[in-house]
Amino acid sequence: MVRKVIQFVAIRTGILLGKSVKRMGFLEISKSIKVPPGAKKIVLAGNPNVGKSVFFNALTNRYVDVSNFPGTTVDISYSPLGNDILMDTPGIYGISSFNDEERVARDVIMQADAVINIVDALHLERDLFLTQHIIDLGIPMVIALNMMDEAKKNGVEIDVQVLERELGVQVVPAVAIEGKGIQEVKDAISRVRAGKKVPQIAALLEAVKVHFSSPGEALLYLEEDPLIEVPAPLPPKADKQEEIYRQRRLRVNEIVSKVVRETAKGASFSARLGQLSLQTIPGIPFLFLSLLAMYYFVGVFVAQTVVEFTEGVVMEQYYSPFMKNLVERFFSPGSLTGYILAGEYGILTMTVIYLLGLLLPLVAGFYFSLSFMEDSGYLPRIATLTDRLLVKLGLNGRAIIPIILGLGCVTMAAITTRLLGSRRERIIATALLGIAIPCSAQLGVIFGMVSPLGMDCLFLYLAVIIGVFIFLGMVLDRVLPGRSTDLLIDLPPLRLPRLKNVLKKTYHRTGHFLKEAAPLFALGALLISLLNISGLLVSIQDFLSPLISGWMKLPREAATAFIMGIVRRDFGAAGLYSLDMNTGQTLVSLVAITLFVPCIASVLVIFKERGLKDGLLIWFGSFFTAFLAGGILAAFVA
Amino acid sequence: MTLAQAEKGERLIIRSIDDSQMRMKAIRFGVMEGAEVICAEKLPSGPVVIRRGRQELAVGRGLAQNITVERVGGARYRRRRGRWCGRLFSLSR
Repeated sequence: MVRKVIQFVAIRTGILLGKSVKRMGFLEISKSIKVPPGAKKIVLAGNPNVGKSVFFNALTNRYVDVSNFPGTTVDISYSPLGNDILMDTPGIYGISSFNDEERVARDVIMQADAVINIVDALHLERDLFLTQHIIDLGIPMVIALNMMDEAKKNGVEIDVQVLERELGVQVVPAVAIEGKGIQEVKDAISRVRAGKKVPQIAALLEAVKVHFSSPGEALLYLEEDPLIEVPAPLPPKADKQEEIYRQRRLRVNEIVSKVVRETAKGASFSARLGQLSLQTIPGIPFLFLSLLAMYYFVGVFVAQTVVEFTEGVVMEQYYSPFMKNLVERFFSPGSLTGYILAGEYGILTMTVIYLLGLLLPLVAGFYFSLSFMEDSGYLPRIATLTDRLLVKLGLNGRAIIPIILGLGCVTMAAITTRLLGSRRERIIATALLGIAIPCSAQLGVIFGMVSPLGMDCLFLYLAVIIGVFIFLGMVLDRVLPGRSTDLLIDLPPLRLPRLKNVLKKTYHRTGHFLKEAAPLFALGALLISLLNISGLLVSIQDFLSPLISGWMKLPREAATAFIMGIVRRDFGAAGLYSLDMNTGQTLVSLVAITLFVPCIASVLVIFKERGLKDGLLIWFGSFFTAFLAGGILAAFVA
Repeated sequence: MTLAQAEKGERLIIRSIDDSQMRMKAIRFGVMEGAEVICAEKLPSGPVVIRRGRQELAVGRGLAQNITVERVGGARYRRRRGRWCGRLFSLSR
């Protein structure tokens, strides 16, 4: 049975399988999503933040399933719609394979029987590029022209008839958040048709289309999509991508000039606010204020008040005694199974308590803040403001998102490093997260211990950690081969997020995180239980002690805290509480435990995301950094 | 000149983008050779923000150095006016 569990966990987490499978051709939708025979695949597509999820929810209401695409890390929501099946896709700006989101969206859209393209009426110039791209692929579609109210408010008039004529597909005006246009879009699905291709692109397609099973594939060949298998008679590189993109852009600009009439004078309030948010003086203080607000919400309100209740009351007082009793009825607490299930690191006790009592509220709190910032359009602005600093660490502004999240939960943040542009950046960000970013659970314990030592110690502690963070980033930037990508990010207008949408996103992301982290957490608990029973834990302790007492001048028993720290860093930090140490020793031990390996769940996520080799490097790197920094500091203060 | 040398408020025509993947991404946002943009903001030693119609894009400094532009004019007088109070004033108007 144990073997089966391990096998399940290994498969679920992809550790043994090696994630970097090179993919050729498209991923069959039907392999990950159950499509009933005869059902048409209807796909929602659009740019980020144009209201796709509002449409998805309004069109379906219930029975939403979420499927992960194998080989990628992107989830697709889908739900029955009459006899057909409706699928959501990640927000994209065009059909290509610049990142995982685009690859998945491309695969789903390429296999669609009909596409509902959601277009932001206020940003036709940007959005119609994707629209024209889907039309050029030859996929039947209908357009939902969303946010008509905002366009009107901003003095943008759109001639819907002319737009329909130019594109050759039906255009339905809508205000999705008010429910306007939803029914009309539903009715229009039966009237989808292939639109008017850009004439120059159609001509290029004509020359090669006999070699492909669909015009869409022929187009992707011309656009040099790396996943298209090139048939023998054709040259392997079509070298037409730029020409096609250019023609499509010119055509879109032409259409926009025919259908959009601007009657607005001057910039709107939101546009001015957006401009101010990027200027050094109101911008940087405002950034600090919003991060502070987020810290108070997650780090103080959720981490203390809410967790006090969920972990302290619900879990420790009710769940834990109940579960222990239940397990004891079947297994004696001294037996192997009893220990694994309900012992110190029990799968049914510790794992569940930490996952649901501690992590769930924290992660939900963080995802709530993140979704709020995302929907408000502020996130790309934070990335812009922090870009100049992150460039020095071999990252770009986008990396601020996993870094902020890491202060909440490193496990969760390690998953979001996926949004970074290159493998190099993902390695740097993951290493920084794994080594130099303490999670909120740990921060709580650390601040509790460092505050009584006085302000000077707090500053010294922060200076060392931030110093290591910057130093590590700069070193990795120097050592790692290749080049990091530059920032090129769309700055959407600032708007007040819809609470319902934010909550929905929070719910989905939190659920997804739990699904991903739970097996890893259980696996970690199992490993530690086994280590403990087999006596290996004590051997490691003996092995580490010269390093602990010799090099870092800490009491010998501090080794135990570090062993605990392998499971969870805050366990380790808490283990230092009870030791009798002077001020210098406390500081050294706190610096070392902060830089020490992240919790076992994070480590497993890092292995899964980065592969065994990079994962091990980061893991051992954190041992090395922690003891090196601790030892150097000890030479000065202990 | 390059985009990194542009100043806030200037109107520019993009002449070339010296990075093929970024060139493709920029076309999708309407920024390509020949397009006219406004340098909407320039963060000290940080990204340059360009605007074209309602589309705003933040361009990292490294990429901005690889984008050649040509100045076609612009509100140079606005450069001196950018004090904080002035901005608040224009916000409240």
